[in-house]
Amino acid sequence: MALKQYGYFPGCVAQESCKELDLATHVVAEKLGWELIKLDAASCCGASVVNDMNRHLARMLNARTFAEAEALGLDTVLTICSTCTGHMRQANHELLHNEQYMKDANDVLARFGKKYSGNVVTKHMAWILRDDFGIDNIRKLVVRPLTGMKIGAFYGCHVLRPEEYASSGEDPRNPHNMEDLILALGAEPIVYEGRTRCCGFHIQLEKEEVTINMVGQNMAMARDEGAESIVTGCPLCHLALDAYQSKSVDTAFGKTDLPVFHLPQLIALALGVAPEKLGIQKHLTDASKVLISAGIA
Amino acid sequence: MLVNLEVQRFDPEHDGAPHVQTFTVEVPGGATVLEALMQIKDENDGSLSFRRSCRSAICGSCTMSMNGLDGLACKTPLRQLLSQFGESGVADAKPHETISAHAGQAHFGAEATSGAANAAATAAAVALDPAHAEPKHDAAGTPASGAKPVGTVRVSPMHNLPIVKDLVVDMTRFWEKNKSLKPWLVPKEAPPEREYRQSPVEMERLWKPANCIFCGTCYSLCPVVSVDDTFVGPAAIARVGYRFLEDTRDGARKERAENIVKQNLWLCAHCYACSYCPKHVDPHELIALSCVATIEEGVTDNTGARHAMVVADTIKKTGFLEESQVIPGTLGYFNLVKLAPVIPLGLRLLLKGKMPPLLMRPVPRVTEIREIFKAAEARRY
Repeated sequence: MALKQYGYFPGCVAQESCKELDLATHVVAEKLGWELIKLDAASCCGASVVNDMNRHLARMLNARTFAEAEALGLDTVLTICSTCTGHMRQANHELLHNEQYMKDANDVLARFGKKYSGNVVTKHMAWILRDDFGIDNIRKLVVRPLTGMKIGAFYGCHVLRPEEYASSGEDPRNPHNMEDLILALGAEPIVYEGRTRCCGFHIQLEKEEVTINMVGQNMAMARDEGAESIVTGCPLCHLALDAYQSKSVDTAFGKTDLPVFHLPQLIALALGVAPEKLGIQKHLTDASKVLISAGIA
Repeated sequence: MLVNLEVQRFDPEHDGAPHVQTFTVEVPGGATVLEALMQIKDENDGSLSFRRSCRSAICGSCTMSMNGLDGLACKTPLRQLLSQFGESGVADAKPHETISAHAGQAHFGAEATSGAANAAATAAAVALDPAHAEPKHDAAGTPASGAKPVGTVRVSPMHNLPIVKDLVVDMTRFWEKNKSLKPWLVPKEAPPEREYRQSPVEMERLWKPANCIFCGTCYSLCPVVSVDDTFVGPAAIARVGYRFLEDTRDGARKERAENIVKQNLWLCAHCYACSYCPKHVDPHELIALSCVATIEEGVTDNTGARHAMVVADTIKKTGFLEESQVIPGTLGYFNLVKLAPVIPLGLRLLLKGKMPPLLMRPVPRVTEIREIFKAAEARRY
């Protein structure tokens, strides 16, 4: 059977401080029979900063990325970061809904012989798992069910809001694709209010204390509902939740020490891959206790 | 349709803490949350307090939290909430069927009239743990006819402001923050003989903020305000800050830029929670435009502006947002006071092998990216 091909956009963080996410994504892709064609020449999606500062720039940078995918004959870009997903979808939405924007972008792309025709969709890995691969088909591949693990999903703002272009088609105020997946992997999904809230990553340099409190607030909500670990589809959320939990001990929200898995790490664990092959030991909040009690490590 | 309304009650003269009271009421299929509350106040409990006036999303009085979703009660149909969360009224990570206008009708016998259901409306007060609002249903809430409520809608006051009574909050802090950004025009020069004139393009920029009705939905939804009261908040930035920064008749743009940065403009977390504005003001977008305006005015000696500029710079150089450059670039390469607190975290990352590379090799054909920067930087937002 021919491999299913996707344009792969790992995003900056998965190539810098969260290389383990990139690693785990490749492990899962191989298991699921996906061919990830990395968009090597693609730039940063612009993240919140460029999108806020100069929307022309954000649209043009992403139009170039989409043009790279089109040139390779690809129609879907697979992302593993909520922030990339939201901002790339925003750029595409604006390009497709405003002829002038599309013309402006193509005028620049033409200077170096590129063109974007508008035929590329950006989808988060979690949505591709749900829509293309099918949650039931993942369930069938599970060889080591994550029985007994109580896992809270942390979605990340940019795959939920603004609803107009960022959401996956589910109700962004009550999404369920991550919980469906947790269930399919044999674990127990824990639903808590913080799962659709903001991690505070983008303002850690502005005022770290606020990020620490936002992390503490969300993780306390997860802890109080019985979650023993977290899974997220966003490496920025991962960084905030993983690094700041130890600092949020002193906030009003109290101590939490929930290990924060990247989505493909969790899937790979259930597909039988050893934790050390997924870079889980690199996380700052130790996952070994949770993994040992689930009989994995 | 028959619905449970779990309403958070609080009377400062008698209650130590808020508690939940469940009303089981028969309402028309198209009823809004506000209509249901008004019916309860008329027919069941006249002491229930909430703000309302116009009933048509103009006055901005009836902001509250409904099933945890903040918005205008007059603009929120009960059915919408029931279809979102199912019977419990709590997010459950499950898809739900849309509830029809005739929902619950099948449960009614011929004798189950609206009046009968209302007669059975309960006053079951359940103690509410302030940390965790998980009210219990009282069996007495179900009408004797055997009719079954189609679901539950939980109503509580808006967030981030102190409660005065029941669903009424004290908006003082909200108004103070709006005032802190000077919500009045500072004319450039002596007023013209006739009216001030603006071009349609200049006017267009003010449409979105002009639609704001100060309902406070965005303020209630803002997760930053929830942990840090020094953040001026989305409403004030959009409705006052941006509105006067972008008003061509105003003569105090620079002072406004300096002031809005002091009121912590850059604390916006880019979470888009405020995208659920009932008047489609898009506060998140106007916050971004306000940030741009402060940089245009040269107010750049602050963390937020430096962060924005250094991120763009690294992308221009290599195509990547270079994490290793962004942190010192934002805090200041030689600013030991600001760098010192992040060093322990950096060391932890280093020890775990998670330190980002100090230098990223530029992506192939990075000159194309620089070409794009050149084209985009020549243009205003």
